[in-house]
Amino acid sequence: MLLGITVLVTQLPLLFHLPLLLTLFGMLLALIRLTPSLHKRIKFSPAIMTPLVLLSAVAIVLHYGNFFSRDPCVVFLFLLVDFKFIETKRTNDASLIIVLCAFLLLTQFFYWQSIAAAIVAIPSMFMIGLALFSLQRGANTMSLRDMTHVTAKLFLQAIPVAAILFVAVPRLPTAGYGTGSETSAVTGLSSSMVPGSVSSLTKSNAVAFRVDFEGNPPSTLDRYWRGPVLSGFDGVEWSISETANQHYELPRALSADPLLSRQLEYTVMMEPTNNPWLLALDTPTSLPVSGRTDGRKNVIGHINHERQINATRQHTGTHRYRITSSLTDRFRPSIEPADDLLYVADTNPVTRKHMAELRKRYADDEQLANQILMWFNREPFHYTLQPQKLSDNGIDDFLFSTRRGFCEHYAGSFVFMLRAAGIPARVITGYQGGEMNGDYMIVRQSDAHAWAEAYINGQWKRYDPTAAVAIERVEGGLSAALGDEMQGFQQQLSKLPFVKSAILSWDAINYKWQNWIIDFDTRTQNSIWKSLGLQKPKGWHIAVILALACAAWAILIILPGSIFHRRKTDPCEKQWRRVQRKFATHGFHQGNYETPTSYIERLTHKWPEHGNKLQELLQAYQQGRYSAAAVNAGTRNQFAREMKTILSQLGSVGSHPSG
Amino acid sequence: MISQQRQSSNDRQIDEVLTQLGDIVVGKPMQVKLALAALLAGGHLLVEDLPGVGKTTLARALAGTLGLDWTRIQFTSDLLPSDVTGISIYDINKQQFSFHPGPVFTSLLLADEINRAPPKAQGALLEAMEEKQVTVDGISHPLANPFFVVATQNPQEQLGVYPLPESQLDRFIACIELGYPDSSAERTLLENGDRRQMLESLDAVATAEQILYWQACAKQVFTSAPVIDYTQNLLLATRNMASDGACNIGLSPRAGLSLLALAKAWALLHGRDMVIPEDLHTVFPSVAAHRLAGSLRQGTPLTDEILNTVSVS
Repeated sequence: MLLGITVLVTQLPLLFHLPLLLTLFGMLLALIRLTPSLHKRIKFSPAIMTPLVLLSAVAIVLHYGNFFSRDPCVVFLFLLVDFKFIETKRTNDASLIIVLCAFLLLTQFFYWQSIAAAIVAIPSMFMIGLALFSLQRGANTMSLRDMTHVTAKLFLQAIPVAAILFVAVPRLPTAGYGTGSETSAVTGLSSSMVPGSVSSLTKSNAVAFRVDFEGNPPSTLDRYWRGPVLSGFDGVEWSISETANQHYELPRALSADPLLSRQLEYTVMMEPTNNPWLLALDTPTSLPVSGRTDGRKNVIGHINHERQINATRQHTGTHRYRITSSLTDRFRPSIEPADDLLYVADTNPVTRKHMAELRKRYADDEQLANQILMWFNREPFHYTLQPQKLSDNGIDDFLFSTRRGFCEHYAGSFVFMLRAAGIPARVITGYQGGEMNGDYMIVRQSDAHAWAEAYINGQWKRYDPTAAVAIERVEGGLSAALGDEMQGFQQQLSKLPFVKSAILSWDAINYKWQNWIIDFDTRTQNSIWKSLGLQKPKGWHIAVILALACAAWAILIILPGSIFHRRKTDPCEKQWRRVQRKFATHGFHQGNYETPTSYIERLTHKWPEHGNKLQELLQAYQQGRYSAAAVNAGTRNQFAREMKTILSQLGSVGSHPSG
Repeated sequence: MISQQRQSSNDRQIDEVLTQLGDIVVGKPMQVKLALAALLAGGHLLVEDLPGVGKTTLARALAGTLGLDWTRIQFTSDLLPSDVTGISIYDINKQQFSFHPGPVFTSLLLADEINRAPPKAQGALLEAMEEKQVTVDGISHPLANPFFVVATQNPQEQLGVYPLPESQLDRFIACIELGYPDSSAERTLLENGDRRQMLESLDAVATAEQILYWQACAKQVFTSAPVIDYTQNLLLATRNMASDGACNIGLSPRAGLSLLALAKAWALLHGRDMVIPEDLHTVFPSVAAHRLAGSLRQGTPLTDEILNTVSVS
């Protein structure tokens, strides 16, 4: 029974990660076994079981298309636990089930590693412990309540040991298990931009990444997080140029740029994503360096000549890297922009004609760009998440008729206009903004943004046409710019002050969890050893420390009991022990089965001249220990004092033994 | 609690009782005290001994000194239950049954050689001891209060005896052995002649009410936690012994209560309002021996062993 509940509780969290049809089938099997009436009626002979197992294997292959990868294996394990459970009869089977359950419990961490996952695992872990305990004890000898009590106690006692092991056992340089590439698609910036792609992101409150700054965080106007650089254009869609990754910047060249000013160092913790690019404040001046090493720097990404950071290896877990940025809106590239940055396709004739006229009036590139921004600002443009539908010549429609759009509209058409005027330009997507939560910053998907970059006077310069229309977007974030147009219940809800603070505190806890538990690595571990005064601990050092710590803990568990007992020792009993010790030196030991009366009689026989004193001593002891008055601690102490006095009067006995 | 003054008057009177008993039952102060303690603890006494060592004298001395009326039943192999409890006889004059009380209706009953009677007759007495009443023809007749049985039995090696089963032995709070008197006591005995005359001229030192009062006092004697611990350890030791096969059965919880009750009465006899381990130590053999091995002789080595292994707390 207990075993069945254990199986079900362990399987429950996995329901969210595996195909429902298969898992429900498995749990149904367990339920049949658990229900006595059903179990009696339905007999599962090996003749049925074998085809069932094969069938489920086939179902798994059909569902996933393969068998030997993570998810199919987890599902198969899940089902096998149920199959095994249904034919469990002996104790051996039960202990196997418990081991399998423990293993199954681990698999859920393939899918999520947040605090919630850990909390969800606790009941299952407890049930596994309880089942194991009842198996060892035989369920009949103890009540369930007592067993629960003992199991809980054992778990509590095990926590410090687990913590010590967690801290001290050497880490593998990388996570010991492959998280694979099967994580369901995580939303984020994409490699191309059509009108509507960024605005769909902004409906999500999910965290994109968190940042830990060395020193002060940048001001709101400097919070441009550079992501994919889109220089390709086919008339409608902006995309990453095919040639973008042909040339990579050297870290020395990045930081040698004389235009760079304030340098800021920070650590980014990116939520899982399928995309290869990493984010950094505009503009990055060093390569991203992973902390997940044993002290050596491990470069995890490169910066291409468009200043887009690409991760060197596909990695779907949380990225964690240190990087330096210079807070500037312009930089000098290492190579001249190619001609395709002027490509405007053969679309949007009105815009191109408009720009040709404007070009005639303003020869200076910078002046021209500013004129466009002023035009955006002057004309009745609206910043909205719900733009009207645009035709094939979307930019013409947007600029000269609808004039309602989101950042991707503004950035796209701005770049188009510049290109039409013969100025190389490109769209930058990324995030703009971020919210400080205590000592770190949260950047959410809703902070997704698009802006433009133009090549003027040998420099790439950032232009944010959205700011020209709705400066609030840049200064106060999306919700400030949109007002009530904010989409989604979640975002509405998070505007309530207490919900907001609750969400922020939960995020802070998760951040700490991520920092100290999930990302606990060799480096953190080494710093702990260092703070203990050990530079490079050898294996046996660690073993000794572990053994010592565990022994100390064991003593700590056992000791309180004995201290408690010692404290319980009666004051009279203490004095009586002194009596025993005193006369034991003369060869008169009180056997522990000897009553005090007969002991005193023996002593009186040996030292008759002290008979009265010894008798008084005995009386005081018996009064202090056995009388009704001695229930009161004060009385006990009183008699103990009396005994002490008599004992001191008896002081001479030892030196002059008579007879 | 007993006030100081009352207690000292108690002590004086109890001392008087003990002195007078000691005059008659010469050289057996321990046994006399245990007999009195058994009475004050509200239990019954089993005396195991050869004939002629003074069992009857002890019973009569107790009765005389404490001012109790007493009867004696000689248990024989043809004793019937009604010979103990009494019988209903049809009275022709009154045209109805009338109950003729048996010898059990008294304060102190000397049941001589109890193991010579068949189990049915033994049972009648033991039931009366437990229930403190006799039921004949559906009518309950309460026994006297106090009611104290001194049963004697011969050592069981002799022929023609019905040994008391363990459950019946458990009803006797204590079992003592008088044994042969030592030489000086025997000399006194021989010099002063038969004790019978002394017994007849005995003055009562106490009354039945006083005994009831003392019984109440004995119940109030304090038993502290260490004393209870010691009691439990002793009981546990007998049970361990039984599981090791050294004796038939360990002590029952009733035996544990008996042990404490007797120790309390023992403490009262010594003028204390609390039980000390010494009391338990002293009374333990007489409480435990017959229960553990069926007879005092066989049980005493066991109780000695237990007392020498269980530590005093």
